[in-house]
Amino acid sequence: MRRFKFIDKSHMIVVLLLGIIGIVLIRSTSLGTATSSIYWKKQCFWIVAGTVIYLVMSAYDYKKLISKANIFYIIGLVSLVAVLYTRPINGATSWFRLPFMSIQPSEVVKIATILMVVRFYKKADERRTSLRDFLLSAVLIGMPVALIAKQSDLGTAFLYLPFFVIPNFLIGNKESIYVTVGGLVVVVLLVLGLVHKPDWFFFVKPYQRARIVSYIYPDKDTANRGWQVHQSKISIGQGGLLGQGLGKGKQTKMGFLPAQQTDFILAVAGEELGFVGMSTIFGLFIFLFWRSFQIALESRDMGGSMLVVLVIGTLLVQLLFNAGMMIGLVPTTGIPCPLISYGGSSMMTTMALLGLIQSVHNDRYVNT
Amino acid sequence: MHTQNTVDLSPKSLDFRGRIYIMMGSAAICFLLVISGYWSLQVRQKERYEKLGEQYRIKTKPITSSRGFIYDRNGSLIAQNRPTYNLAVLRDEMEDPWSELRPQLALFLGETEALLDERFAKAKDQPISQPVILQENISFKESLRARRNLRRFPGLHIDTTERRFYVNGHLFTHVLGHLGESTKQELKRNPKLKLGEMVGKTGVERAYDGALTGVDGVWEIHIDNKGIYRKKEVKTPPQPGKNLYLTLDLELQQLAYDSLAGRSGSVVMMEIKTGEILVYLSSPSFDLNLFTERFSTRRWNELNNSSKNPFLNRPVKGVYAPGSVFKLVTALAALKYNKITPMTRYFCNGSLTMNDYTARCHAAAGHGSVDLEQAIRHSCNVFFYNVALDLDIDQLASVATELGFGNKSGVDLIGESKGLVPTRDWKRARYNKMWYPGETLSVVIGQGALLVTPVQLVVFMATVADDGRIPTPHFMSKYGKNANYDYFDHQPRRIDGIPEEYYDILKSGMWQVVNHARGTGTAAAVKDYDVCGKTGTAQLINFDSDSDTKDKAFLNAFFAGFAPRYKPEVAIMVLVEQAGAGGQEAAPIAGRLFTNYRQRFHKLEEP
Repeated sequence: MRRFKFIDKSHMIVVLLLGIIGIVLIRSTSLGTATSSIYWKKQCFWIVAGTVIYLVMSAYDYKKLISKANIFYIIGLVSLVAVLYTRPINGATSWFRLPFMSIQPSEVVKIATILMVVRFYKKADERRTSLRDFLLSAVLIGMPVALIAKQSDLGTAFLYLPFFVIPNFLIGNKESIYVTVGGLVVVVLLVLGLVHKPDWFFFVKPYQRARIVSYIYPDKDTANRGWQVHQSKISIGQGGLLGQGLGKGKQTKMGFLPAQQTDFILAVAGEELGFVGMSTIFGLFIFLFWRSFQIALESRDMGGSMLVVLVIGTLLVQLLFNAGMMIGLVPTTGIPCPLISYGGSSMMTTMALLGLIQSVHNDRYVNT
Repeated sequence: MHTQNTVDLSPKSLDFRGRIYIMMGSAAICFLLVISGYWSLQVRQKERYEKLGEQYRIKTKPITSSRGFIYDRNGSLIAQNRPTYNLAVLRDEMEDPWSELRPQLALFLGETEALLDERFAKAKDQPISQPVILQENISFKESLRARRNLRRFPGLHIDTTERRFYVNGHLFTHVLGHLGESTKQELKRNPKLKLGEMVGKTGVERAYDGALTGVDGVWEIHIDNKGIYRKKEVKTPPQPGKNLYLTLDLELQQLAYDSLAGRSGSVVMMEIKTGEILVYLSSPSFDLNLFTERFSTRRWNELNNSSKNPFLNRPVKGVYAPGSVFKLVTALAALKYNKITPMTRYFCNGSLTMNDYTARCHAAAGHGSVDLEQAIRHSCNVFFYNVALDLDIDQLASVATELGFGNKSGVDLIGESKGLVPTRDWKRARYNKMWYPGETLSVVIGQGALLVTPVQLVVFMATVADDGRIPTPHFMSKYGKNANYDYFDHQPRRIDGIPEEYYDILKSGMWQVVNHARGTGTAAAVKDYDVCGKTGTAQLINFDSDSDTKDKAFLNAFFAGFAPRYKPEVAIMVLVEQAGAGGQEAAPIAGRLFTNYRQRFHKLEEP
């Protein structure tokens, strides 16, 4: 385990800092309310367990993992199929319920998928890349995405999207870039057109349009779907520059804000810590991503670089989407905030992914 | 050819590193976008979201303010408030729909569903936070039973409010007036009102509603997302309405009430210099508390259909032919227009025939040769018939109008009647007919088309007593205990063109009415208190001129007067409807009131 010596300490410290901020915020939601205080204690355990995984991953040679990626990938797919036959929780069949915890395979399969993508493109190393490669990789990524979408967990499925784009972009697969960008533009135009020029889409039924509009503009539908975002915007807006103080959030304490410990933890941060607190949290994440990008740049192995950028991609999208949906920038989907939101599966997965980055970093010093 | 299209995948290649830099740049832009979103929400739109948040967390409810108390001039409480319990439902806290709650409540309350439904439907237009009252004014015991069962019927609510309570409900009925729920018209007049709020409908309660009504406070109720109360605090405390001190005197009022003993009529007693009303009685009266308690339809109909018309506020709204009391006005007019002098004498043989019409004096044998003072003392009709032959109706009307007849006295009650002083123009406009001289014969003795209110008569008495200064009658003055409020400050109005000697002649005559052995109003006399007055016996129908038996039921008994003769203090007007002669029926009541007034208020002259 001589790899420990080379560990990037600043990377690890920031990861732990964010985890501790998460604990403090989860603790705060249980102050003066009926919310159980069990959450913050459990989260402490997840952080400790996550740190262990982080360290194990950083000490492990990621290349060995990549070489076994197909095994992980297949196990992952099987688990994703298996989870569909469990009893639904809140309308989603995303959980294996074990006596001491619930496991969300869609989170863990992220790791396997990343490794599989890197493995696939490592082979593409030797030959010309083409649209065919892109389509093949799309099938690779598309399978877990489709299975997760089938669980009605669109949020998590969404986090797989960077895997389509990033590798092709990194290796300069021009055709795939055209297809991706072109496809995105068409989707955006279609949605905007549907919302703003409904006359042009006479074939779309009104209720279908209404559903899409409420998905895109939750603020217009505060009674149902929009309620959560409406309340989280109020909470964050009330925070002001300096916040109401830990444990003193008005909107959160009165229980108007839903899912406070999990998906909407940043709204608690926004109300209680204000813009200054939010900037601090964003600052820590920016540092984390900046350090990770450095590691990607410094890696001498293309697979390592790609692995790091893929991890950055999925975590970045997760963070920005979570933060964006708090303030209504993006539609509400069930995405937790990495490292801060309560949740074992998410914490373990995130820690493992960040551990992989650390492993790539250590690799530079080991294989000289 | 092969190398041409091969991508250099080494991490050290410029292309690869460049793409990572592009991704770093894109990530930075995305972060910037999100952070600026937070800046916009938390720094630029903070206040907007604070307000939005309060809308969800904080609900406000009014704290009803208590209505001001009302006291008489000596500080005796005559109107106050008592707690009252209403059983209501809060529509915004109901968990079951009304259609399901209704049968349960009907069973619990022992009411029919239809009745509950009717009451529920009545509140349709009111805001949903307003409780819908199902049972009004339930007893304390009933309220306890409901309180124990509140949890069984979510939305059921006991509304504790204050109810007006009148200590002497039957005494001050018409002057205090009653409260009622505000109507839409009243809302238009006063936008601060809420629909269904109790407001003064009549009397002092209406005239001074603004002062009596307090300003409601505001409860701030902090609720959580399930609507459960977490904290309740007073944001603005309610300001109670002002307490008012009326000029009325409880003891005199009680005396007047007892004296009338339920007969129809009216008594008004007023201080001459100030215009402060001491007694204001309209009879028959009823207990004002009937309006605040459950007023049964049967009781209402009984009062409303009573031939005695207890709802009529007689002193200001009742209009009567004043009878002989009006002869004083005729006398002033005749003196003013030089139709008679104090020396003028006419011979009364019991009647006067004009054309084919014979007008009779009440003394069939006649009063012989009488001058003005004697004519007043005996209330001789024939003397005034002779005056009528010279005096034009418009001259009489102009003096009567100047004295306040045919106009509002300005008393601080709303809805005062003007009465009627007939003139040539009035008759032409009303009936399109010319004025017949015979009609003047009726008017000079206070009959005919002439109509006056009791308050006009008492003001007239004060005017005569005070040599032509007309006070404005009122119940509230800015002096004394109401000093802080800006209520009533009217200076007496002075009548021009009637010299003081004329009033002295009238006073002399009026003194004889009471104090002369053969005066008509001797029953009003008070020892050591020079009461002056004039009786009146007004006919309600035209008797057959030959008929001797005059049914009492068709005679209104009047006595109007003041005391003492010199330095007069107090004026009075007593009317007993359908009772008979003024001297017999009304004068004794005046005498009793004067006696009481003298004992309690009269300032003994300094030796």
